[in-house]
Amino acid sequence: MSDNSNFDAIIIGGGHNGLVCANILARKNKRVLICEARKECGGMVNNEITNYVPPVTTAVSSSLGGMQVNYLPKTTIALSETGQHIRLVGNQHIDHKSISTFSSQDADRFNDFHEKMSKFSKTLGSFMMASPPRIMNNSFSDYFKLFKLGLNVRLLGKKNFNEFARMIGLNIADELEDNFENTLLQGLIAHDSVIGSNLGPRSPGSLINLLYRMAIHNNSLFGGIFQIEGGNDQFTKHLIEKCKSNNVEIKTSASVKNCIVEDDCAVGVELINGEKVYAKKIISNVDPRSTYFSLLGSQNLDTDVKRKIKHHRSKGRVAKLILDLNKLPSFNNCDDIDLDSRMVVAPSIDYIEETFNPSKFDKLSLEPTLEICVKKDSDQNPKLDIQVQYAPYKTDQGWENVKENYIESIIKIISKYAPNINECIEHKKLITPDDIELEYNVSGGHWHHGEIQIDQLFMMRPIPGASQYKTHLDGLFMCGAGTHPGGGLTGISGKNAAKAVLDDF
Amino acid sequence: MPKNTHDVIVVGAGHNGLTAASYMAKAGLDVVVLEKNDWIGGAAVSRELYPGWKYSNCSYVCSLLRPEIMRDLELYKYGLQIIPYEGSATMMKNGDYYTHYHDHDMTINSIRRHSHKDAEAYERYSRDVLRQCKIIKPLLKMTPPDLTSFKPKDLFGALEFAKHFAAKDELDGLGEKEIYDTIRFYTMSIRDYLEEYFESEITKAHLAGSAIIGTALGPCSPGSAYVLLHHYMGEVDGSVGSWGYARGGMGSITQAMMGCLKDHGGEVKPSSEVTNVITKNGKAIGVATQNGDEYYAKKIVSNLDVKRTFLKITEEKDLPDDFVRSVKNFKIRGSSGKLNIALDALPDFPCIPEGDPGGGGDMHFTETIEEMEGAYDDWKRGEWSRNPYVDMCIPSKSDPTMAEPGKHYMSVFIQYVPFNLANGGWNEERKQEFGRHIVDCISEFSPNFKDLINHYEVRTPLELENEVGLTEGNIFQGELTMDQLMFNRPVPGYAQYRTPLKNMYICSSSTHPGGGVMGAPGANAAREVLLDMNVPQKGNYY
Repeated sequence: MSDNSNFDAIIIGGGHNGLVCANILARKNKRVLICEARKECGGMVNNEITNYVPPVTTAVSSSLGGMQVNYLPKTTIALSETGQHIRLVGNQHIDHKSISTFSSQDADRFNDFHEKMSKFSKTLGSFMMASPPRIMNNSFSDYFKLFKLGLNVRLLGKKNFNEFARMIGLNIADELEDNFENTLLQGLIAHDSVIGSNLGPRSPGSLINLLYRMAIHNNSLFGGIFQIEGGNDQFTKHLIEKCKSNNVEIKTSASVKNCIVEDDCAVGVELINGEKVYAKKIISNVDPRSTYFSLLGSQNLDTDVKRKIKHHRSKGRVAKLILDLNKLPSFNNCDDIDLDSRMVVAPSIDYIEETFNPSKFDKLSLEPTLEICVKKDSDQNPKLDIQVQYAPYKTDQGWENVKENYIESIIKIISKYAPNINECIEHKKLITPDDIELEYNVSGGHWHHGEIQIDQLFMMRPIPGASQYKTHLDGLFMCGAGTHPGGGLTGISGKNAAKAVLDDF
Repeated sequence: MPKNTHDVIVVGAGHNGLTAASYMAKAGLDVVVLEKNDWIGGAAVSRELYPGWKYSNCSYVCSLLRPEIMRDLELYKYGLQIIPYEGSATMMKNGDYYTHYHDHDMTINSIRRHSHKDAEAYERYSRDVLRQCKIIKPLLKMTPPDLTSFKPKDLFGALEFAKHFAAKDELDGLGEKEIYDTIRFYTMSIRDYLEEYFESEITKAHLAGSAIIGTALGPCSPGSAYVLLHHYMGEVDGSVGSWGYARGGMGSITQAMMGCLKDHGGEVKPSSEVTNVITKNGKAIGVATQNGDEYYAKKIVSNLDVKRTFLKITEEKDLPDDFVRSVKNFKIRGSSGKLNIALDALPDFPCIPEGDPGGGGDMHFTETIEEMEGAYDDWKRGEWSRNPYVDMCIPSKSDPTMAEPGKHYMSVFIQYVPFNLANGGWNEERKQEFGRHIVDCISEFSPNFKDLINHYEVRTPLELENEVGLTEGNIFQGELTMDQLMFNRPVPGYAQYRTPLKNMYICSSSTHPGGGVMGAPGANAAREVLLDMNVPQKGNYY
């Protein structure tokens, strides 16, 4: 046994939430060790997986002592086969103008819709920044929290309260069809509502996904979408630097085998190489399923918990296609600024729904929705980084047998908008959800470490009874995206978890 | 004072209208019910559309009708008899079958044929679902409070609701764990919910059927688990979750209600379609009918769905803009069709062993949730399901009054059938094509079925709308999704059976607690009317 027992906390996994959590603890004079299984920290925030990031909230950045990264705002463009693209920047007046070239009614309705959604996303946002209360444990602070949350909603006013209550369970397609007539605009908003989830636009609950997304993107539909100057990995690089200056120890290539449990309490971790490290608190940044089944081990779980974790839904539905190019393809009716935008292929609600249908049973749809991002590699060669939805986590035929065909069908879709795409391609690489699972140790390969659906949100995230960042084992905490409020590169889970850990010291 | 003046006018003689009318008549009010058709009962009817056979041609089985209402209105005295059926079955393409029975242990044994694990899980499942039935039961009788109001009545109501959920005592209220279980049950998809219990596809498919009947949701849509509860929370003779046939067809329910109503001085006028509500100074004072009559009353209660009530018989100018918009956005989607079949003899279903009580109730042939979801995907495209989910039963097996001796009546409920059929909509030819398609589907499981057919009636959502007056043919008069339940039903802020138009009420299934032949919306609405009129109320229900 090495003499390492003087750590205050060990964080398993150096994704952005783990890094945020580590920094906050270190700033409170705790000795923190991060064990990262991969060669470097950063998890899924890197230039390959992440295309766009939300701005970091002031609450998170101030608890870190400020974040010095530069955010570059990005325009969104909904591609149309006819070249009648819709470009939206997140500015009310500009967006109104660009939509009014298609439909003046939609433009006016868009303003109202945006205002309403923005109001609700702010309310939802107020739920995000603190650990969810527990109910029925007779603690005053929990009752107060519940009361405050209730009050927040009530303060929306009678009309909005009623509307909010209606919207929680609503599907986005109904709301969009009630408001807009342009199918491309409907498709674009619907795309952003179901992105990263296992819901189709007609599935009840898809609207709350959009509110959720807005809450972390400046309460705006198409504003608050950024890339970081110098690459999205600057975000984690900056966090790692902060770790260093805060004296957080980082072990890379240090895969944790399991938690060491003594007297029903987590006291340390055992690494794959047999090394044991001890600390007062263990914090897991890995997804809930791995936390419970791999770190804790099913021998330490009662049947009820085991069952809940087993059925925790975390199958990813997003794949990435990376096309290395020798030159930029010319997209119909797009200029250079457009190529610097977030290009979305989701022509209508029905298109998205049809893509979604086969994925429910792990089947492949050859007409997925795409979010295309033009990037440059280290040699300044252009590449297309394409986010593809809905790609099943696993397919009946096995991914290795269908990958080629799938890639070709995606390129075929792109060629409708950029006819010369085929001559530009040098190299193709498809990253499927199960590739993500293997590469980043995220079970299911899900962005958010777990579905964002009502039964897995708030007091039930990741599972009831473990929603206050504590697991069912004393001394073991969770700080990953699987906890409240969830993923989206916000670091809020990490921050809230740090508070829960500090309260426990 | 104009003639034709009453205390209350009820528009529409469906089961909720008749329930409301009967309660009000019992309380001593002078009630008249106006019905557009020349028959009574709305969607709870028995009609002889082919000589010698009685069809329950809309709703076909009974369970949800609240027992308190049956007792209060003495429906048994007026001839209502419910015959519980003993089981249900799903037939499989490989010749096997899956059955459920009235008897719990028999069900467990039957499930064990398919999976030992599922047989064990079924204990847990039935406990959890029955617990949810128990939790929701008292809510059915409540008027949902207006959560945004600070009136003592609403605050008290909200407190009642909260108390019901939060009481410390395990027997009275729920613990923390149960609150989570409840939220999860109300918001999950039936597929996810069942996957927490069962492993075999056939178990899941058989149970999931109840979660899609009548809705525009698929088994993978979040919120479909609640629909299952909606079909489970009824009871026959105190046995929760059981279903039965009304002797003489579903019309006996409404006939019995009418008996009660007439005995208490109420009146029903068929062939009197209400065309508009007469208003004066922003208040409803009466109605005008198609045949030119006018009726006046202190209170008007509409048994029409919320869209017909406010977009058809009421003028928009009498209502607030926001309200009208909410009503327009109310989701009411037809997704079901029906075949009523007159059979010369009992058809064979070789899958089900002869004499097995599992064959006495509803029969299905959907083996996986994936097939079910595929049927839903067809509907989303505006097509009828190529491989539909059917709920078929032969009431004449247990009820000899439905057909002549030896002959049989079969009711086939079909999910999913769109109201707006793609490529040109419904016409006679496509309707018949649809009927033939269903007959073909069934005959795959019954070789002699086709030969025994004497006559059949095809009902698409279009017929349901035109005949019964259910908008888009939705059997619940409004989707049972989270955004349209409890406080939100029919429209947020107006869940108390009152409407923005003074003296106008709504008692249809568009209100809490929703559709099914339940009667609870009617009884709840009657309570609110009586409360507003300061008439003392009697009965178990209140």
